[in-house]
Amino acid sequence: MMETILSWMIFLPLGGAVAVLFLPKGNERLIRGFGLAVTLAVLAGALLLWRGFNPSAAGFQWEQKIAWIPMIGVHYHVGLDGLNFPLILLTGILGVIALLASHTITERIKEYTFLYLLLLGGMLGTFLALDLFLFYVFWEVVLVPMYFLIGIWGGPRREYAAIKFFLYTLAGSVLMLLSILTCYFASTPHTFSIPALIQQGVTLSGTVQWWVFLGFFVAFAIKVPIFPFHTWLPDAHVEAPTPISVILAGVLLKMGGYAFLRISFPIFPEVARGFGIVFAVLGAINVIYGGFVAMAQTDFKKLVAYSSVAHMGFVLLGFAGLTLTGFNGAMLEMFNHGIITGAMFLVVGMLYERTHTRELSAFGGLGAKVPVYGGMLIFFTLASLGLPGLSGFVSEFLALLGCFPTHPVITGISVLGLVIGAGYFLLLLQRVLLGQMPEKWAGLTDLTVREIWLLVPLIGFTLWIGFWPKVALGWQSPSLAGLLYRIGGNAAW
Amino acid sequence: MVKVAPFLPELLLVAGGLACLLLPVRRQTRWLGWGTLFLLVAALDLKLWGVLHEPFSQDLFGGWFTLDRFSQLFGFLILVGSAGVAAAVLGFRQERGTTLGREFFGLLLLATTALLIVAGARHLFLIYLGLEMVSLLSYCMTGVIKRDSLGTEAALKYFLFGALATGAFLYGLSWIYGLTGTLHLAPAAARMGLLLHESPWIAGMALFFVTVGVGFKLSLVPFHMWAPDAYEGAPTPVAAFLSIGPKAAAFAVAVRLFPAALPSDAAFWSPMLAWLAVLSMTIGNLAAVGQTNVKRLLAYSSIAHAGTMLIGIAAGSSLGLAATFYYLGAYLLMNLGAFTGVILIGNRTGREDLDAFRGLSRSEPAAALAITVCLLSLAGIPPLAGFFAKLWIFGAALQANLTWLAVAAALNAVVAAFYYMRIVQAMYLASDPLPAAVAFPHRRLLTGLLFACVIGLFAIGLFPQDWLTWAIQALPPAAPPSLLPW
Repeated sequence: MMETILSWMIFLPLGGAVAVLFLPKGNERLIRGFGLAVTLAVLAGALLLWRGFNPSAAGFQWEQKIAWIPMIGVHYHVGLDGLNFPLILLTGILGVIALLASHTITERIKEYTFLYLLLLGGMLGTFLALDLFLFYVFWEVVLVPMYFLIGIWGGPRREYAAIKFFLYTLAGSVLMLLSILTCYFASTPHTFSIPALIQQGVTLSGTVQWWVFLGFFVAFAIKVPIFPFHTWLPDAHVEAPTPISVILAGVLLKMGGYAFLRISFPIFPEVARGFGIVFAVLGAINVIYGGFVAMAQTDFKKLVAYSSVAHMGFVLLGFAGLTLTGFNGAMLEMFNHGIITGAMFLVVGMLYERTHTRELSAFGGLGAKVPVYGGMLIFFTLASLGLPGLSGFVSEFLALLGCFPTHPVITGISVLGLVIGAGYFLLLLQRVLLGQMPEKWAGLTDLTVREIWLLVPLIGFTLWIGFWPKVALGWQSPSLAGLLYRIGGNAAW
Repeated sequence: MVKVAPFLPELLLVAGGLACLLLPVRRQTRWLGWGTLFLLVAALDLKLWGVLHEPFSQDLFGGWFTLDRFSQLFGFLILVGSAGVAAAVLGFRQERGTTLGREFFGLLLLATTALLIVAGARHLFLIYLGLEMVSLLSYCMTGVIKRDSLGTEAALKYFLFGALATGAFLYGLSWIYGLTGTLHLAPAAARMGLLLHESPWIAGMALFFVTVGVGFKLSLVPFHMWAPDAYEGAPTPVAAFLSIGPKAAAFAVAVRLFPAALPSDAAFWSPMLAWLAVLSMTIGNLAAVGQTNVKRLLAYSSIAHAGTMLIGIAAGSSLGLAATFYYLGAYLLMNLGAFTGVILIGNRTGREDLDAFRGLSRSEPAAALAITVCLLSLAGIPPLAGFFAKLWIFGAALQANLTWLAVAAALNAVVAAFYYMRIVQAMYLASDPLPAAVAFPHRRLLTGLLFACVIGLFAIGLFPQDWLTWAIQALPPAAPPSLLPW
């Protein structure tokens, strides 16, 4: 059981999704309960992994390799190391919380649960796959349920947002597919295995390597998203229902950042070194531009969506330095952003449920009316803007620190992003919580116990990593150091 | 002495076809449809048995016809397609005036026979005769419904284009005969190979005219103009047949004519095919985007798919040919599924436009799911067969250093995804669904057929190994095994 736990975690949601199709349509309690049971089992799996995970062990843990299409050397190959373990944990946590937050979804429960579990399985598969072919299959499997989840249960412009998301991601994916195939033909013996490709290296000329790297880059950049490939994100986020926004921001965006670490950097170390400056510049643009655009938003959810763009900029800056501190910061920022922004979207959704508007100008003075809600909003907003003592600060600081020795000027410019972030988040608090409360919100109710308990675990993680980041850094640091050694970065800083 | 056993499938079909046309049975008897389906499945099994047990490469009738692994496997595909079409006809709403009666089944069986002949022909004149027979029967099938003006117009248009194309093909054959003194494929190819180097213009002209004929059957741009009108006007099962059977046979011909016959002269035909592929993909996909009639949409999509499949032949490697064969198998299933969806919608609403799909997921969740899987496969989403088909094609293009072709195909896949998703969008996302289902005929049969397609798509998608092994064995004998990348 323990040896195959990774496969269980992938195929339990996928099998569960198929099983949902055979449940009676009318029995919504049964369907919801079944979905919850599956996500809880995945979380249990993630916690079991936590117990057994040895960060300093060499190589992959719980590795499993089964021939799938032997003729062309495709394997079902999964494994766990410091790069994907935090993301698996994140997926486990948010998988349960987002499903619990799905009580606001009231129609077509059966289809919803089916798609949700499919999405979960696809994301776990993407994080665990160690074979490029398998990775691509799971990467695309994620795309389809997301399209439906946005398109069926989304807001007024859902059809547009769903197809935009689908086509954007698909355009990146097909370019990645060409890059994967080029890697396959350029390796001897031909292989799709990521570890084997890293070990053998690919025999491609410098220019071709750049093109192949670029193919991967576009696919991952769309997912992250990196400016100028980010335009699908605000649409998707604003239209998606709350739980799906949580998954989208919390887990899905991490697929891009993770894929850089898992695939692009180790397979093309020389290109990765040359690409550092590109990451730095794009990261700075993400931080500054994303921040300013967020500041201009009048829609609560769109503001949080653009703040995601800004936060992902810190991940890129962390990559750009090619230092251990930077990589640690980037990796931790992905985890923290998942927790904090996931919570932010929950908080936005809770207000929207009550008021059916997200216009910031419609609010004001809610702090006195709904104090618990106000407290939650303040906590996660402060975490998001990087208040020391909360988790966002640690990772953003590390990312900037790691970028500094390599790109001092760009890091200096990017630090302004923190100020901008503080600007729009405090402005947000002011517009929602302070000032005169409009008459129409007189009947507003505070958070229910259920809603509070949805947020409590996320508060726990935010505080824990904010005060004691050592454990979380300890998971990832050895693997990141190995990666840096491979690409010839600065593992000492 | 020619043994009869290898021809049992063909003989069975001819007998069945003639019986349908000549025997005094009532027109609308449903058992005739089941009988046709049974005959096709029987022929299919015999073919399969032949694939698994017969020794390969029997040249028959003085080398005009051959029963090699290649023709057997293409025959297998053709028979699967025709059997699927026969099943779809059983689900097609039969009303007064729109009956697909006994003459239709006769035409279907005879056309299938003709396709099998084309797949096995190794003499250019037999190829011509086979293609012409397929064409004539297809014209009849397109206009099979009496007093249907749209169908009659479609048949006439199809016929006029077809006549021009077969004329060009025959003209090309006369050039080849004049240049080489023979129409036997192997010796003609050998001499053409020499001529291509001595007087490339003259030999190239001959090849060009032949390509026009084949391109018409494959509905490649710029020989595609007939396809949208023919598909729209023809009864839906006939459109499904047109998109599957003749294509498979024409690809068999294309493989025999180019990579198998002129393996060392790829420099002459490969760029020509590559350009046809790019044109077909791009124009087919772009034209499909604006369609509201789903049959027209599928017609343009089939033009684009033919272009994509042609890449495998343009690459000319064994991976490329295997990819084309694999693609044909996947395409057959997913396209049959898509057309079955159109039939289902037609039975339900009497319409076949995009709007008629609105809200199908609510009233017919199972059918909507199956149609969606077929459409996602057409769009090339893993782990469905359509994805793997595209993958091998891309791989073949990259391996043959046709990177630009691979990139063009990849970008086209995104455009294609857009219009397939429009149908999905109508079924699942539309906020104003059509009124909930009234009972409509053949609901269970059509849903069953859809799920048969879905199971096939998953089977050859999740376990591509066996099908790919077959695809590689289906390589024409002339392809040098050294090309094998594995």
